[in-house]
Amino acid sequence: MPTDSRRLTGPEETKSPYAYVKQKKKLQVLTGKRHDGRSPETLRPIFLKADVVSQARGSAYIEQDNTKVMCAVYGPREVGRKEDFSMKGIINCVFKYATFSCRYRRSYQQDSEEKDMSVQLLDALEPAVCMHKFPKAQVDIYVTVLQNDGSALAAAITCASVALANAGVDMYDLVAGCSVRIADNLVLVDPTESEEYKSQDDNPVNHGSVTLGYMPSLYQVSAITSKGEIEFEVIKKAINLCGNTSQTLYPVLQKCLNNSRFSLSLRFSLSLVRYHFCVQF
Amino acid sequence: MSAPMEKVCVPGQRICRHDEKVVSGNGTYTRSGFVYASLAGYLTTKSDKDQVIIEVKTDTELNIVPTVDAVVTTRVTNVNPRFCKCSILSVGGITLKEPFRGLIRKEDVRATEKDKVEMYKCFRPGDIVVARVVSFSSEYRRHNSSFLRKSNFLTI
Repeated sequence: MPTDSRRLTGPEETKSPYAYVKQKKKLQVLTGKRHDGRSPETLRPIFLKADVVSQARGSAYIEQDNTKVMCAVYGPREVGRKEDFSMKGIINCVFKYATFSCRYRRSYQQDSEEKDMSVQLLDALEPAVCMHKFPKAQVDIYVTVLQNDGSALAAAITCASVALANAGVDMYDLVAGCSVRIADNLVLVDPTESEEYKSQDDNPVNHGSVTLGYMPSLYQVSAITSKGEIEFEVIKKAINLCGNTSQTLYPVLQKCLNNSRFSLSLRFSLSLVRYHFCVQF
Repeated sequence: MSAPMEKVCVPGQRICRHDEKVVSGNGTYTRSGFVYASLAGYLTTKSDKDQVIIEVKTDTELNIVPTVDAVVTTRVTNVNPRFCKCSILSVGGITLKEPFRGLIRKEDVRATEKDKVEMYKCFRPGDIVVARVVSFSSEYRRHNSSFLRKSNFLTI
């Protein structure tokens, strides 16, 4: 097992406090309402802001209640020597949960789940980017989940597409991400972490989750990923629901990008004012 | 300064129908008979003869990378008898944020008497060379140098 030699890990004889926490029996919602009072088809309120990391070429931050994701885009920069030659551009995606973001502490290095998420994120974004515009160059996308309260991948897809647009990378369309949790015949949009949770002794016919990347103005699906055992009819319903919900996200993305344009020009004009001020006195 | 009342576009936004009078310029693409924006920025139109060029401009500088036929400014980093390595600093007058690696081969230095080129007499490390990108090789970009420090020959 690869160990992290650069950091001090905790003593070997430690026990996670979660070992003493009572495990939940069933998905809460099966017995009643969703715990935050939403209807099954409602998204959590979204806060989305572009241009948050000054060093990066483009960046974005998304907050869906307690799911908080930050994304920074660098490049197009030169590809490393190890990459094989291609006339198209390359996108490099790194998805990482911050160590403190989940119920269980994450490691500093990417684990297999995070690597899997990186690939899924890349699959969702690749169809939307004009790769021929930067031949033999690569764009790096770094996504950090600051707090995970479910639907992290969907939030990451939305956030990364806004960051790419903010970086001025040519794109065919923005990508909105949406995920649903399926339990029995229930389809829950934008599940929280407790809704994503499935206990061992709870085995309905349909259980799992679907995440969809959707290009809202081209009406095209860029990627689908599903987990668990789901019947075809139910997954069809889930995908339709995801698509429709992503469509409702589009105005949010648009507004966010427009606002970032506006704040940029505002900042620029302010610096001009300051400049005039200096000249006069 | 860009006025806020200009039309703002986001990627994927449909701009107009694509016909003979409309040319899709920078920051746009055409798909199934329509012009769409591919960048987030302001919509600008220019008329050229009887055509209209549609462009989307961003506030920040363009994301530019060296492409074939682009004129680039490079700094020589390493010289040997067959080629010299250089780092590309700017493309067509736009400075790159990070340099790209490039290569000037001996046979690409000038058009005539290619076999008589002596690399050490042409380049020294630190020279600034304006060159045209000839091709993408699997390892490096190759250049045909078109202008040299201290010299007055120009080849393309």
